[in-house]
Amino acid sequence: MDEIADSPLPADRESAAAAIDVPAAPTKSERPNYELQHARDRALVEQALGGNLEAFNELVVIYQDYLFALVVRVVNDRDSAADAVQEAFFSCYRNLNRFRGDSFRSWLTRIALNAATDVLRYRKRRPADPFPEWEDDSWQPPADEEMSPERQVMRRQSSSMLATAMAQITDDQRRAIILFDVEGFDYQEIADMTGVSLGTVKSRIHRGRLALRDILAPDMELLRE
Amino acid sequence: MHNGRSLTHSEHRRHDRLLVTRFAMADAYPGERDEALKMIESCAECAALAADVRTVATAMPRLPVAPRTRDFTISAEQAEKLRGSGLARWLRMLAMPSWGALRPVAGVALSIGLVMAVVGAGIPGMQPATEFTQEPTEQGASPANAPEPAATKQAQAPEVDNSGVEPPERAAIEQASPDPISDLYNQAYVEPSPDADDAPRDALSAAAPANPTRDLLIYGGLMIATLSLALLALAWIARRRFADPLLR
Repeated sequence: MDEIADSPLPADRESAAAAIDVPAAPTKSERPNYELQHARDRALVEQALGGNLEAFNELVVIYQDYLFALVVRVVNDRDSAADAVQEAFFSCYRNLNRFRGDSFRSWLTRIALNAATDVLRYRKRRPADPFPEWEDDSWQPPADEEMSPERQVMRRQSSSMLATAMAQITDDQRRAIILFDVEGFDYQEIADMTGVSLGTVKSRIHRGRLALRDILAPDMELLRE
Repeated sequence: MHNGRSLTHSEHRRHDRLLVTRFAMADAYPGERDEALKMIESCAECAALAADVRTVATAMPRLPVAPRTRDFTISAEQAEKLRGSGLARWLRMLAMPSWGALRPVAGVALSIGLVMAVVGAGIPGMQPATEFTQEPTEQGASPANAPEPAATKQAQAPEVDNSGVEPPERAAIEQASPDPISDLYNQAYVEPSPDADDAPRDALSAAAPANPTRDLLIYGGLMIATLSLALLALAWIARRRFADPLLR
């Protein structure tokens, strides 16, 4: 199934995107403050390795919202997500001396995704309520202050539809789409994080989008708002 | 651009929807783009699919966000517990993938140690040289066999000749005594050669445990095998108890 091979990126991707009016996803170097973030993280990791717990907790404060949002989207359950994120930070602290990469965020994301995968595996073994929090009103789309109340209601409805559809695709496809479309990681980063090939990552993303489109086809107009 | 979209639904079913999806997200191979573009231009459903896929992708950041339910900062007590004892930290280090070569290396060392010990035990340093000269004769002994070689007889002589009686006197006793035991004794008697007295000394010197290579192989091999076994056990414990499953 996962047979799509690598295609030349990003130059070809940008030209093709321009041809059909699709904005290409930002590449790694285009992300704001990428190098600054890395330098800050590395400094904090060095201090934490020297025994400074405050430095590690600063990293926790920086990444806990991002990590929780990511994991809760993957597992769709706040309690399980909170446990997974806590385990991820514990594991990160225990193994901080093993951090070798240039991106602490990617390393931490990988640990958290492994924790989320364990939650999903556990849920598959003991299926009770696979996605318990669909209709929970505390789940809100990203806020936009300038949006009219009517549009906010529509936005909430469409994001709820999107979440429902996301729950119907496979775990692998959902994880890849969240990492690519929501969190902005590039294909190679996702391949490194999830331990699969670049072609597999692309295949999961494209098949996942196709499946989402088929699920959302009757309500596509709402998504276009 | 879309003036040729007159294909029917049944024709659309033959189209590669995944290719249209990839093309819509600007991820098709250069060689596939013409085909994908042709499908989008000629098939209304393919065009709708491409537009919908783009809509889904751009809507994705609108996924709802659940508010964080707790603070994940680590307390000093938790940090102390997570760090663990010195032994735990050391075993955790052994469980790291960078130490993954430890087990195969220890396995090879264990094999080498055992081979050394077995080879060392097989070296005949502790056995007298005479045993090796006697063995074939003893195994091949039968009434029909040829008479024993003189050397064998000489080697056997000291075992028999322990009476302390001189040969001329023995001849006199032999003639005087009709005792059958004495007859047997006399039959077994062999005239000693001049150097027969040296044979026991040679056997004793061969029996002395003076083979350093053999000792080195046995004790060194056993030591290597024991150390390797201990390392394998430690690596196993480290992997079972201290490997972090989230760092796979």
